[in-house]
Amino acid sequence: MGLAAIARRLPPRPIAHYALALLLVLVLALVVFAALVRHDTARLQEQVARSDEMLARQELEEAIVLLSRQVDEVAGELVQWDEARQQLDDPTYYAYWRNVRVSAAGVLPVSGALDGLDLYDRQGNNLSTDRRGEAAMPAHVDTRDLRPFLRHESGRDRVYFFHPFYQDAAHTVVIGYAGIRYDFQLGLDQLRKFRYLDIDSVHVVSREGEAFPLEGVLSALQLKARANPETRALEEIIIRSFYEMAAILAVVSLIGYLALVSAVTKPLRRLSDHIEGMRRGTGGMLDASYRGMLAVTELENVRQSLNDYQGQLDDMHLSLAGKNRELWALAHCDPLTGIFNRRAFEDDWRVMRRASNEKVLSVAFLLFDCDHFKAINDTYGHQVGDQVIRSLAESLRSGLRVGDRLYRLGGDEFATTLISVDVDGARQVAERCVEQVLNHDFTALGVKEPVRISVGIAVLEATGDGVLQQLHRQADIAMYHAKRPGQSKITVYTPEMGAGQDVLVSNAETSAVFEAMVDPGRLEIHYQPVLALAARRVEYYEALVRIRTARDLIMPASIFPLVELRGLETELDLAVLERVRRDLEAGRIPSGAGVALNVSGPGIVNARVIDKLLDFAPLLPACKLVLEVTETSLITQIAQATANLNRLRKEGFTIALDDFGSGYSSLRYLSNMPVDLVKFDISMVHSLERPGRQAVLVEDLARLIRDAGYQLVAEGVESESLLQRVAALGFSHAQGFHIGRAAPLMAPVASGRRDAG
Amino acid sequence: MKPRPILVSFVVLASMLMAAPSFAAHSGTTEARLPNGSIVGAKFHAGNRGRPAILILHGFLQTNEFPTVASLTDALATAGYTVLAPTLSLGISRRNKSLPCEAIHLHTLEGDAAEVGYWVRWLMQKGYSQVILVGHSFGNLQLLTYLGHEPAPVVKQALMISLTDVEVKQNASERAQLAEDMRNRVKRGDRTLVETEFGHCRKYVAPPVALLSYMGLSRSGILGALARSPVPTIAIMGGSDDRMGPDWIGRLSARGIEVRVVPGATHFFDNQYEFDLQDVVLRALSGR
Repeated sequence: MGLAAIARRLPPRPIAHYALALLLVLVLALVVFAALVRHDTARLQEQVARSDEMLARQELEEAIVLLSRQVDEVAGELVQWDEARQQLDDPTYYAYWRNVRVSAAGVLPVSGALDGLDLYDRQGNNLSTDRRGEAAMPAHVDTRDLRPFLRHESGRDRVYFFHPFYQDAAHTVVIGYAGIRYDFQLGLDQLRKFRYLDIDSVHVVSREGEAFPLEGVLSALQLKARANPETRALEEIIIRSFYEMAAILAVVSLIGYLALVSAVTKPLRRLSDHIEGMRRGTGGMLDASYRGMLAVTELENVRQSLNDYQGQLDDMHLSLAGKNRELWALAHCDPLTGIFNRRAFEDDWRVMRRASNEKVLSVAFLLFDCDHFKAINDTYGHQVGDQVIRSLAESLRSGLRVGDRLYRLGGDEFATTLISVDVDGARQVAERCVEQVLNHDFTALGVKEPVRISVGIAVLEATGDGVLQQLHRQADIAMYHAKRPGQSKITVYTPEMGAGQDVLVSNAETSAVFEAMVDPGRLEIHYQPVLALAARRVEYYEALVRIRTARDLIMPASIFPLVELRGLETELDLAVLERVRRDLEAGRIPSGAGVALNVSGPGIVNARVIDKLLDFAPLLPACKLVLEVTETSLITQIAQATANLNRLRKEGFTIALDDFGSGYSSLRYLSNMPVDLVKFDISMVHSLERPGRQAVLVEDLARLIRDAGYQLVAEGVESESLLQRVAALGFSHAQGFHIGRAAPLMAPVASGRRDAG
Repeated sequence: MKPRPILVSFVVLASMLMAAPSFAAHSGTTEARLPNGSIVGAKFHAGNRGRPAILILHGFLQTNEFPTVASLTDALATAGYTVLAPTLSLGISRRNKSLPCEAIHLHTLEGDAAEVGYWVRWLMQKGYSQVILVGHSFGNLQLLTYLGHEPAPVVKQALMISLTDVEVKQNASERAQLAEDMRNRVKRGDRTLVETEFGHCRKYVAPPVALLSYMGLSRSGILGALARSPVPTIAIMGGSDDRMGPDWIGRLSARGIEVRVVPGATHFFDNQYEFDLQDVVLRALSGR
C-alpha cells in the first residue's frame, strides 16, 4: 500500500494539525541534522586528533633533530671559542671560566634550557674538580660513544651532548670534549613554537637515571597533541553556525507556523466555522476580521464567494420566509374568517401535548357550534351563511381573553384551548362567547331567526398519562349534549356523559358502524309499535336502528353522533332502508301493519335514498309506509326536501314530522312542508302531565295543528293516563313504552299487542 | 739527437710543478708550535726576496684580522713585500679571535715578546735576512720589549703605528700601586685571578703574575726603550688619535723619535686614512 493510499485513508484533520506536524517534522529534521553534525564533528575531531597526534609526534621528532642541530651549533661555537680551548690547555681557572666566563662571554645562548656545561680532557675526565649538586655534569664521558642521550633525573628529562675539541683544522687530534646538557622539555619548548605538540605532556617512561640514546628516544616518549586551535575554532564555528542556523530555522519555522496559522489556519477555521454556521442556518456575512494580518488571495476569493452565496441565500431565505409566511397563513388561517384553521389547531395541539409531557397543565377545551347553521345557510344562501360564520368568529374572538386563540375547525364549528383555567373560568369564557353571539346583530345580515351557539367544554385539571388526547372527545360529547333539546347551551363534560358516547371515538365501535353500513345485514332493526288511537291497533312500527357487535348492542345515541360527525347520514339511511326491506321481504313485519322509516336530513335530499325509498313503492298497497323526517333536517335544502317529499307522498308514502317541539317548531316551516303526521316530541308530550302553561300551550298547539288537518302522534306515552290524555286531545297515534318497546321482530307480530319491550 | 728536446721539456715542466707547492706554501696562513706546545698562527705572504720581510704585529688582545693590521698586510703584500702577520697566542693555542678583557689572561709581556722573537726566527729560517717590524698600538710595546732583549740582527727597522702611551688611562702612581699589589700577591703565592682596570679594559682578569708582567711598562720606560732601540724606529701617529695624550707626539719627538703624523687619522686609521697609512708605511719602507 503506497503512502498516498495510506494518507487518503486517514480521517480529515484540522489544518492546524498539519501545520503542527510540519513544525514537528522540521524540529525532527533539525534534531537529526544536529545528530549528524555532532556525529560528523566527533568523527572529524577523532580524525583531527589522530592527525594532530601524528603531527605532534612529527613535530617532536623534528624538534629533537632541531635541538640536536642547535646543540651542534652551540658546541661548534664552544669548540671554536678560544677561552674554552684555553681551559683544555690550562684548567687552573676552570671553575672561574665555567661559572663566570661561560655565562658572561655570550658565546653560548642564554637559555634556561641549557642547564649544564663542562669540559673534559682528552681522556674524558671532567675538568671540574667540584661537581657537587644535582646539576653536576657526569664526571667522565665515554670517549668511544659520544652519541647524545636522554636521562630521567630528579623528575626531569635531560639530554646530554658531547662534542670533541680538535687541535687541528683537520680534526685529527682530539684535545678534549665539551659536555652540554639540556632540559629536554624546556629546550624543546624554547626551541620553537609547537602547533600540535603539548610540550608539557612530553615525558619519557623510564626509571630514575635510566638513559636512552637520543636517536631512538622517540619510541620511549609519551606525548599528547595540543588541541588544535584552528580545528577547535573550526569546530566552534561549525557548532555555532549550526546553532545559529538551527535558531534561525527555528525562528523562521515558528514565524512560518504563526504566519500559516495567521494567514491560513485561522482564516480557514473561521471559514469552516462560517460554512458550518451557514449549514446550520446561522451564517451571516463574513467580514475581513476573519483573517490575521496577512491576507491570502484565494481565501479572500472564498470569503467573497461565501458572502455572495450568503447574500443570495439571505435573499432566497427572505423570499422563502415570505412565501412560508404566506403558506403558513394559507395553511393555518381560515380564509373566510381570518382566524386559525384546523391545521393550526392540530399544530398547536401537538405543541401543547409536547408541553404537557414536560409540565403539568390545567387545560380547558371549548368547542363552539352554531345551532341550525345549515338551515340558515340554506335559507339565506351561502353568502349570508359565510357572513354569519365571520360574525360568529368575530363575536367569539371578542369573547375570548387576550391571547386566546380561536380556531375554525370546519363549517360552523369553532374551538379554543385555555391554559391554566379551571371549570368556572372556562365556563365564564364560554358564557362571554355565548353572550357576544347573542348580542351580535345578525338581522343586519338579513337573518331574522336568532343565531345561537352551543358550547361543549372539557376541562383537564392536570395533564399527564395521555389524558390530554381525550379532551377533544370529551368536548365533543359535551357539545353533543348541549345540542340536545332542552339542554343548556353550555355543557361541561362529565364522565357520566362519556358512557354512551364512547362510540364517537371507539375504534372498535366505529369499525362496527362502518361495517354495518357496508353490510346492512349487520344492522339490527328494532321495531316500536305505533298505536292508532281510533282503532286501538298497531298501525305501523317505527324502525329503530341498532348495531349488534360481539360484545354488546350499539344504540342510536352512540350511532348518530358518529354518523353525523362523519357525514355518513346518507349511507346509514341506505343501509337501514335495505335492512328494513329485507325484514319486509322476510315477513317479519306483521301483515297489515306498516313501517315508519327515519330518514336523515341529507337523506331526504339524496337521490339514492329517494330511489331506495321508491323501491318500497310496490309494497304500499298492502303496507303503510311512514317516512319520518325531523324539522331540522328539513330546514337544510328545504326546497329539494319538499320536492322529494311531495314525490314520495304522491307514491303513497305518509310523511311524518319527527321531534316536533324540540327545535324551532316553526309553524311556518310546518305549513310549507308536505307533512301528514306531526310527531310531538317526548318533552312536549310529557309536559301534558305537568301542570303549567306549557301543558296548555301543548294542548293548544295540538289542537291548532289537528285543526290544520294534520294527524298527531304522541311520543313517550308511558302510561295509560297519558294515553287517555293524548287521545282526548285528538292525537291520532301514540307511541311509547306503555304501548310497546322497540324490539327485533323475529316472527310476525300479532296485531294490537302492546309491546312492553 | 731528436729525443733531447723532449727530455728537456719534461724536466722543465717537472721543476715547475715542484716549485708551485713551494710558492703556494708561502702564501696564506701558517701555523707553528711554540716550545711550550701552543700552536700559533700567522698570515704569511711571500713577497719579493729582494725586499725585507715585514712582520706586522696586532694591537692588544687583537689578532692579525684586525682591520688596520689586515689592510696594511694586504697593502704591503700587494706592494711586493714579504709580510708575516702573526696572531699572538696570549696563552691560548690556535687563538684566532680577539681576546675579551674579561677573559682569563694568563699571558705575559715577556711571553708576547718571545713569540715575536719566534716569528723573527721563523723568517730567518725562511731565509729572510732583513726584517722590518711594524706594530700597531700596544703591539709596539711588545715589539719594544723584544727589541730591548737582544733582537735578531736581521731586524733592521721598526715602524710603530699609533704607539701607545700606557699612562693615558692609568697614571704612573696607579700603575705603580697596582704593580705593587701584584708583586705582593705573587710573593705570597696568591694565584687568585684579579679583576682590574688595565689599558683600555675596564675589567681585566688575570692572575697576579701575568698582570704584573705588564706593569713594568711606563711612559718613561717606553720613551727610553725607543731611545735605546737598536734599529731605526719611526712612529706613525694619527693626527686625531684621542687615545693618546695631546703631548704624546711631542714627547716622542722630544726624545728624538721620528714621528710621522697623518692628519685627521684616528688611532685605527680607519676610513680613508687606511690608504694614507699605507702610503706613509710604504714611504717609510722605501726611504729606509
